[in-house]
Amino acid sequence: MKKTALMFRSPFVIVLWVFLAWFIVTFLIVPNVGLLVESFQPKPGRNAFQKLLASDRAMQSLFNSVLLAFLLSVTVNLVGVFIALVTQYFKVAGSRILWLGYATTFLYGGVVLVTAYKSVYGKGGVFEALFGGLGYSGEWFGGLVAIAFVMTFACTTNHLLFVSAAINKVDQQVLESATMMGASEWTILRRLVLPQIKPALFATTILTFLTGLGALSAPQVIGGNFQTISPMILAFSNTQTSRDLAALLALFLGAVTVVMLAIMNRLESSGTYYSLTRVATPLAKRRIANPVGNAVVHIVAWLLFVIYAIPVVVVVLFSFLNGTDAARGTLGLHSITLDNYIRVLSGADALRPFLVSVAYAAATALIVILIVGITARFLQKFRNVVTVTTEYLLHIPWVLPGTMIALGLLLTFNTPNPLIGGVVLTGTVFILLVAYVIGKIPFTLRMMKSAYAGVNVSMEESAQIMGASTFTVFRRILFPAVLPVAAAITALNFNGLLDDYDTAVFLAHPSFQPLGLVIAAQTSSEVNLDAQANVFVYTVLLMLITGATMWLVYGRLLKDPTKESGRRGAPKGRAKADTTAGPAEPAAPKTVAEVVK
Amino acid sequence: MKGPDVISFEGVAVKFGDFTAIPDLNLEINEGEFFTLLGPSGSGKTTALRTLAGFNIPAAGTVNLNGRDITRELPEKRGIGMVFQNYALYPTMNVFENIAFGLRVKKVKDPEVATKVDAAADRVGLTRDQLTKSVAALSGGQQQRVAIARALVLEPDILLLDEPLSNLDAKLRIRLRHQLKDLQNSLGITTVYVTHDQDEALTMSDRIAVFNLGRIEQVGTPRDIYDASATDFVSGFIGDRSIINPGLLARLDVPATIDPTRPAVIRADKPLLIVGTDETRGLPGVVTSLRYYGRHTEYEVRMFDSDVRLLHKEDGRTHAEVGDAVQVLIDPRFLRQYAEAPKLEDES
Repeated sequence: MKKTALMFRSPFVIVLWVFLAWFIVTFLIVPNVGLLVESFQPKPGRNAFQKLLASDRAMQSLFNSVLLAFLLSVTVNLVGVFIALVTQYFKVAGSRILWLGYATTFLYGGVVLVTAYKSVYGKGGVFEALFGGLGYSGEWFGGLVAIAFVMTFACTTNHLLFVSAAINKVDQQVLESATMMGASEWTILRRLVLPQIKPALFATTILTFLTGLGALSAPQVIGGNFQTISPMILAFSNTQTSRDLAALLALFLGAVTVVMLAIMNRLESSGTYYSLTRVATPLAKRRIANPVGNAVVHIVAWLLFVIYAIPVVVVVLFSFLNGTDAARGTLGLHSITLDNYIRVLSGADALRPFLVSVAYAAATALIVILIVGITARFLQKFRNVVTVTTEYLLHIPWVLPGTMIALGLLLTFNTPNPLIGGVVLTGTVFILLVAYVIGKIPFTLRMMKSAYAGVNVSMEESAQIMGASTFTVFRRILFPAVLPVAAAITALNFNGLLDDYDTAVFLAHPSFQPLGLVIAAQTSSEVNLDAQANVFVYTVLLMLITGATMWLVYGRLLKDPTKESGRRGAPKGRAKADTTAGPAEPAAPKTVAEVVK
Repeated sequence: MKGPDVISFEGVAVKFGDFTAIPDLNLEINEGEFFTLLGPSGSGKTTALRTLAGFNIPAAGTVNLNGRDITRELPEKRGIGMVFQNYALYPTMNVFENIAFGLRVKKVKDPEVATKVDAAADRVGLTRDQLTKSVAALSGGQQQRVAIARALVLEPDILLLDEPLSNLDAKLRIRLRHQLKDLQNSLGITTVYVTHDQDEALTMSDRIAVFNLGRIEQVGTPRDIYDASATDFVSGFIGDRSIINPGLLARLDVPATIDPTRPAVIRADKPLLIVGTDETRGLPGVVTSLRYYGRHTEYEVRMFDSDVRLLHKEDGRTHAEVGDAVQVLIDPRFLRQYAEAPKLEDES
């Protein structure tokens, strides 16, 4: 516990904190306060509340969001727990392959995933092209049904990560003793296993609820008449007169998020919920004795596999097929082509959104690691009023939905603002960058703090006593020690922003549209398989980049080097983080929201 | 080795929040001494060392080095060499670069760096080809040598060692103990050494300060500490002892300094075991237990109202069994008595 005065001995720290204070006030506090003001400011005519109550659309969207949230809480849990059990707990044929299928949601999400599903199941999509003759019509794929269908399968990533981890922590001998006493599989599951994974389940349920509540890309692309809060916020933010309504809705979303995350924090008492634990002795998988039960489980498991796998297979396949043939239904071997790839990778138009996304993602990742990498050091080393307050404030983006942050920035900086030197940010390329940077700060901060905490303090002290200044100690001892984690976080941040839609849709510059927007635009109405070909290529490329990032981060950067000579890292087929040397928290995004976007 | 004092603590108090680790420390360490801070864990010895290094700022008092008040000086300015308990070697650098680190901080030129590193490595017994290895590839003893070389290469005025041998296995510990002492002898550098191991303290030190709950109980040479323990704590912390109760004291010709109505203590190596039926030199007793160590045996002998522990060297000629009647010769000059009532420490 070092005193404040000690920390501010260095002029560098003073400069840093002045910058942080400006940053926090300008981008974290003022925009959100602005939303409050916008919502509650008395005006001539109706105020925001009155407008809300008077607007059928808005009230309906509130109801729809809540409905979707509850619905998803149930369906995602059902599917999520099932796939976790089927890959971790029960003996199921081909579980490794099943896992790979279920894990496809690691590779893509958000608007990319929704678009993929739409191009498979929607009107004008692949299924219609292939099975139209058999009577398949894409009519069904819209509204609540489509949203629920897609999001149920998109949001199971957390189950595959955290619920699986929780299942694996169940003591093998507890189960064996219950078996010996004659308990049935169902009893063991219900009375021994499920209670133990309850904390993980509560947490994932809350995250799922929040994702459903704040869903944006799915309702936008496939929602049709079923509108939810976030699309409403987007729509209302576009006109002057309804801006306050947008602000109010955003605040509502924010308030619910804060409350639910506070509840989740309470439930986090087991602590290890957040860790991807290394499996010490794998749980011996249990055979389902009842033959009918066994058959049903297998059938459902493989059916789910097919559902998860189809969009990926279709996307990859159709990226190599001629779009015109696909649209006309005249597919044949002649349709196989590399033209789509060539067009995207060489054509300026086709490549542009990709480059825009890469530029934003790279700039964000670098800026964040620079600011946070240094700040985290001081937050970890010194605990005083200044550092504790700063840390709390920097977590604001963690508890607020992206929609609210985006809207706040949009409304605050659409007029010249003294805090940023009297310029306007809205409508420039920079506002999106600011939003991205803000969004990535909390996760990066937690990971870097953890990384610094893992460095043995006597390494610093020994350098100090040999005469090294604070800066030299940082440069030659600390920085190399946390570099692997910093690189991993940078890679994950980069990767996570490539297909962003939820933030870009509010703040993107019309001439610099990132990938997420372009992908969504292609499928705004009916699917056109010709134009869709580009999107397929984008999707495949994104999946490749994501796959490469996962391998880089989990397979190399976060691997404990002292374990190299022993076990060869994680068990095959799984993207697990060996957390013994690295930080205690996973490199996986904190919320389903971040995964699904 | 009494010379000018190089290090002094005057009225030093160290606090952590509300907890006072060291209330009032006064200590002088002489030039060229191998000075040990000895005590159980939590006794304040490491706190005192770290205060000298500059990682703790005292709440009161002054710390002086070579006549200079360094109480509030930053660690990097003190010109002190330190070896840490876990060595604190830098995993991303090889052995050479680890040793060279301090020199590079001081912007010493490459040729001179190489010369000095080689010399330091030689001094601690590291070979040239070990210099290019990664530190993770070295054994514990080798790593410790790197840590020492790294501290010495900067030619510091004083060397601090914080329990440097505690992470090593027993045999290696003993061997390195001797090497460290030899090294210190040849360099003549003032060394402050922290340990809880009394064997280390006794064999290596010129003088020892025994710490207990943040205070120094006694400062003296190893013999002083062992044979002329100033307090009951020191007497009990170092070496084995027996409690001699008044019943047995009455039969001894106790010196004037001993009050025969209160228990006294005597070191286990002082009483002499005499075996043989016609012996009358000592006082009679019965062997109640024994532990055979090969080159000596620890006996416990019941004599009147006391259980006397004694160490008997196995000379191949005499020994006793449990239940035997024996004679024990106790020289009353070695009896010690303190203000506090003595307690026997638990057998470890």
